This record gives sequence, structure tokens and C-alpha cells, in this order.
Amino acid sequence: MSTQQLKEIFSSVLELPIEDVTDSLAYSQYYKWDSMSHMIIIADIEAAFNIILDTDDIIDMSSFAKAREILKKYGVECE
Amino acid sequence: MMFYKPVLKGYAIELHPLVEGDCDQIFAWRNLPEIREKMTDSAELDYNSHVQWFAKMLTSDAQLHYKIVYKNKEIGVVNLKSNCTLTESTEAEIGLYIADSCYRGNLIAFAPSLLLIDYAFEQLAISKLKSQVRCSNQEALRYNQQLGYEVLSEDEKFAIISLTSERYALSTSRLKAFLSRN
Repeated sequence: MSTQQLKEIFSSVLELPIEDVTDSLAYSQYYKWDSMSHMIIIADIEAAFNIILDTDDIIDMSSFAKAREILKKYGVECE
Repeated sequence: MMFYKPVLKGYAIELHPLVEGDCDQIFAWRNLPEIREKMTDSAELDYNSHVQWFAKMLTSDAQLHYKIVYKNKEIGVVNLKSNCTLTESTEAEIGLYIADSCYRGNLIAFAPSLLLIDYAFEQLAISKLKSQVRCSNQEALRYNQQLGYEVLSEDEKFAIISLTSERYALSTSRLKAFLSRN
């Protein structure tokens, strides 16, 4: 469920079909994932999972795979 | 008399003024092909010219050059330059490159600009920043627009961009908040 929610956030913010939201999706690789969309993704993740991310995690969240990994630290399992 | 060049800290990074011992590191970074090709002058640097420029830069009061330090790792350079003494100038130019490829295309790349622009607008008397960016460097143009820069003019090769403190404040409040947690 969490993975699906996470995919929906990325899909909605980056205006990507949900099937294109894969682990390889990365900040520097996809032109619509810039600082603005990154901040919207962070805000949406925090609202959806009721968490507050540290600055280091906001910076490190540079791919969808990394997002799943970071969310584990906050007790959100995205397998 | 040369003005005091402070260490700047914030937004998860530190900016350390360049010192004599940084000369070779900066030469190596500045000559990386992926860095050179984005510069206004993209020619390969000659070592002796670089050493001369570096020595002059260290004592100049019209420019400030900083190493960007993130998690104790030196990842690039940011600088502030003017046509006259920085403490008396109202207009200056910011330059930046991230030498460590791990941190290019990452939110952390905004931190050095935020820190140095804050310093320029809040601690110096600078009210406007201007830069010249290669039109082919769309990544840099987008980056600067996210900081609030607007394009003043452009020709086939270069765009002239400008930033006022008002536009900067409006454009960066959210970004600053995200990079100032903990």
C-alpha cells in the first residue's frame, strides 16, 4: 500500500504515468524533477505518511529507490 | 587593507574561504572537461597562469572564493565578484560549480548559492546580482530561475540574468526552510 501511495505522489507531481515510476527514476535524470517538484514531493510524502524528514534525508532523496530506503527509517515500509 | 573573509555556515553546508594550499585542487577541478564546457571561457587552463591568477585572487578585495564543504567533504567552489571592492559595491556576480559529480543535480547544489547570496544581500551592500550563462546550459538557467533570477537579455551564445533581493526572497523561502531543518 505504501509503495502505491509513494508511486502516486511521484506520478502526480512529476506528471508521469504511474508505470514509469520505477527505482531508476532520479532527480538528475528526469527534467521535471527539479528543486520545485522535489519540495512538493517532500511535502506530499510528509502529509501522506505523517512524518517530518530531516534535511539530510531531503537532500539524499535523489531517486525513487532512495525515497523507499529513506522512508524505512521513518517506519514506512515500501517493498 | 584586505577585508575579512568569514567562514559561512548554513543550509547543511559550510563555505570556507580559499587559501594558498587550495591552488592545485582548484586547478584540477576547474580543468575537468564537464566543468570547463560550462564556463564563459571554456579553454583548458595553463598551470602557470592559474598560479598567478590564484595568488592575485587571494589578496583581491573585489572577489571572494569559497570551497563548498558538505559532511566534511569538499565538493566544489562558489564565488562572488565585483568590478570594485566588494564592501563598497552594489552589484556583483556569483559563480558556482559542483566538482563532485555525486552532488550535481541534487538539492544540495542550491545551498552554496543561498548562503552566499544571503551574505551578499544581508552583510554587504549588494542589491543586485548579475551573471552571464551559456544559452546551451539550460540546467544552469533553470537553476538560477529557481533562485529568482530573470533573463535580461540573450544572444546566440549567452543570456544575461539578474537577481534582486526582493525576487530572491520571494523565490527561495520554501527552499531555505527545507534546507534549514534539524
